[in-house]
Amino acid sequence: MSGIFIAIILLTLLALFFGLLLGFAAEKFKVEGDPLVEQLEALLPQTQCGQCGYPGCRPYAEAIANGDKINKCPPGGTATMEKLADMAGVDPEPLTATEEVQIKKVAYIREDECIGCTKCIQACPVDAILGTGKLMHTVIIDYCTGCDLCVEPCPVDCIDMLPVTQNIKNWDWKLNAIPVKTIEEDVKC
Amino acid sequence: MLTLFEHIDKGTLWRSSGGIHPPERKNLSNRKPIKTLPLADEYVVPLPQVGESAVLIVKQGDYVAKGAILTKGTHFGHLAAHAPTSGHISCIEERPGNHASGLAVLSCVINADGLDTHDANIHPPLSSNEVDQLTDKQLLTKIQQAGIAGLGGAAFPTHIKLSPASDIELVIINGIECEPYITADDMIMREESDEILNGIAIIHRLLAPKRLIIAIEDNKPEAIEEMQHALNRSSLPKEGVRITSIPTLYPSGGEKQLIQILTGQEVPSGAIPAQLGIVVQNVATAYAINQAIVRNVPLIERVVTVTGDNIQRAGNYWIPIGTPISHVLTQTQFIGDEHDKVIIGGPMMGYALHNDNAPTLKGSNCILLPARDELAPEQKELPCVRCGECAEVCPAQLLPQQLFWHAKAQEYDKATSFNLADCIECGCCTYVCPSEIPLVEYYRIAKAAIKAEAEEKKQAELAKQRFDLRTQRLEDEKRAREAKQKASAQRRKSNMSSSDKDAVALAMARIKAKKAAANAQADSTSTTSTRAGAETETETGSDHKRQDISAAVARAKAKKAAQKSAAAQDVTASNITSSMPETSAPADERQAKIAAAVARAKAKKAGVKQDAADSSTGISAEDTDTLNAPVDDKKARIAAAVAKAKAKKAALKISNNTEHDKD
Repeated sequence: MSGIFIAIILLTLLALFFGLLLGFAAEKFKVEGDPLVEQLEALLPQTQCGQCGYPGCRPYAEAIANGDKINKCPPGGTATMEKLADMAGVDPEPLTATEEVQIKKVAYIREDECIGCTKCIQACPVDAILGTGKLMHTVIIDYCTGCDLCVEPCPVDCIDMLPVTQNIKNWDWKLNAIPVKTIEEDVKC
Repeated sequence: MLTLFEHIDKGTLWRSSGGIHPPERKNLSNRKPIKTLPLADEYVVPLPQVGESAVLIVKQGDYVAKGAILTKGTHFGHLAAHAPTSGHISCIEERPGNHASGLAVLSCVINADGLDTHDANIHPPLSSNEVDQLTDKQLLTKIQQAGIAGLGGAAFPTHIKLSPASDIELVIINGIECEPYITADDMIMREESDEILNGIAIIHRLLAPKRLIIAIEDNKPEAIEEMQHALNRSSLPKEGVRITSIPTLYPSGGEKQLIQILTGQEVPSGAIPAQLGIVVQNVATAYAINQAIVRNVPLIERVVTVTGDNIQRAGNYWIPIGTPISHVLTQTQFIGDEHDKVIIGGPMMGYALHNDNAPTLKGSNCILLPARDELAPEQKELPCVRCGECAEVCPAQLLPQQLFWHAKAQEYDKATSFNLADCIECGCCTYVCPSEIPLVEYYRIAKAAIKAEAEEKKQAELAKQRFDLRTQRLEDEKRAREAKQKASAQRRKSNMSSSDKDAVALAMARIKAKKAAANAQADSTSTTSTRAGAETETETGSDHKRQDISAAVARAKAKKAAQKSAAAQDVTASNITSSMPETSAPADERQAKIAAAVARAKAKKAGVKQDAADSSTGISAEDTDTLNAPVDDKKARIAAAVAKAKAKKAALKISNNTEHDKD
């Protein structure tokens, strides 16, 4: 009879001990936030454009971690989508955006039309627009992520989204590969 | 066991891995001395050469002499661009660039006047004593001002290489020129050996190395001989400076390969030779350094090999940097048509030019114009058979076929893990490939893509930083605004609670004062019958009246609120009095004028009554004081006196104003 009691007490003590150990470990080695979100966010292009339907890249990364689709990021293009699929462990899917949207663009303010209302400055998520009230604004091209959030608020429609021009610095060998022309040779009969 | 320096002194050579022996074809161009070409009509100087962030200091229409500086920059890596000849700047615009992409670059176009007038800064040669007197800093500044870049092909700013952070033990002067066809360094060594040795002496002085090796490939015996004679004549120390002949092998002229051959040391991946205490300089660069120091001639021309079977006058030419290649082609009798290739650089590493109007650059050492049967016919790319030939010849000990698979599959991270970045694009693998795969093209594409990806990643990182900072800033602003609102609300509340009673008392006092004023008015009207008529007629009169009232108010308040603080009383009194002219001041100009006109008319009338009125009100007020407030104290009297004085002053002011208006 006493053997049963000893066993029960022993097991209870053991359970208590391990319970405390686990509780302590849970507190001590607590992981802040979801590491997957961080990794997913690192893959996103940080344009903060909101084209995915979320108010920034981090919210979208959180959404993907919670099971949202990985094909909602047009600025990232197919390459980013594939990396997201790889990271999130899902199958790649074609992007929701059209080809045209995927071309990298930057905002350009037609400076003589700008009335200096500062509305675009407030809209820019990455502080890429320079200017002040009643003075002309301009876009710092190197800082612009091409999110086109500034186009909508402009009351005089003086902001254009222009494709990034190629120069020697950003020239890609592949893009300018000389197209191969195949000429049919005269076949001997 | 010999030390490294003993090995170097003995002339020991190590084997570098890989390498090939392509047909050299150097005798097409190395049989005739270096010639010059007639001046071109225009010269195109591309502006963003080496070291960005430069400012153009000339404008369209300016006259520039040969060697005049065109750009100014503050960046330590900035290399100035210079006018290759004298003439006027016809335009500054985008012109086709000398680049594999054929993209246009911003260029300064100089219309040559044909006189080739030297800039005033170019002086006759200094003696060696004068050169010795220059400090190291002056030498480096001169080299930078002369815009000297490495002439071996990479065009790296020379002054940076000559001011390394670490101690330099070994300097290698590169006269290898291993690429087929090119003989520019060969010819300059044969013809300008003394000048080159002077330049080497300057490099030797700046870096103070323990050993200096002039390395020349053994297929240039004339150059070796000339350089040896020049070395014997030169002022360089005999100890520790030697000329080493190296067996011909492509690509021994590569910086890392040459270091391996001469020292047996391998430059680690991603490192630069300076970390091993080694600096490599090209012979033509040494020549340019000498020109810059001794004669102050900037780098405005270089020896260019113009060769190939499509050229009738193949050879080496002193070609000003910025000469349109089309001009070179016509002068050297190009016999090909527009479909024939124009290659900048050698057959192994060069690139085909898209537009003949592109200019020569500092790094352009060869213009190759092969006839169609001269180059291997372009063949269809066949599948890789994994023969391993490419791995045999790779001088960087990479695995070209692995790199090829990954580059083709666009698995760039895997390609990177196979050290794609260490590929020197020498073209050995492409040369030996039995399947005719243009391997280097694949690597270049992969490298460009990796670079673009890294750039994008960096941009994204920066964008995120800015976004985070912005979010933080907006948050801070919002918080600050809220805190401010809270604080002001708090202040209002506390003000309310503490001076609540005061405020109420003040309000009460004002009401009572009004009443008292009405009384006083009634008194004054009753006591001074003369004033009764004039009461409401004039503005000045009414002003005085109001001031009178205010004086009365003050007194009344003093009486009523005698127990309250004197300060509060003063404030009210002065507030009331001072508010009088203020309220009338901002009146409309026209209105004011009319009013002034009316006032002037009436002031005359009222002026007579002024004194009487004043004194009478004074009396009446005093009467009311004595009547209504037997407890009136000294302070109240003083306040009343002050109020009276103020009223007088205001009256004077108003009359002055009216006078002024009349004027």
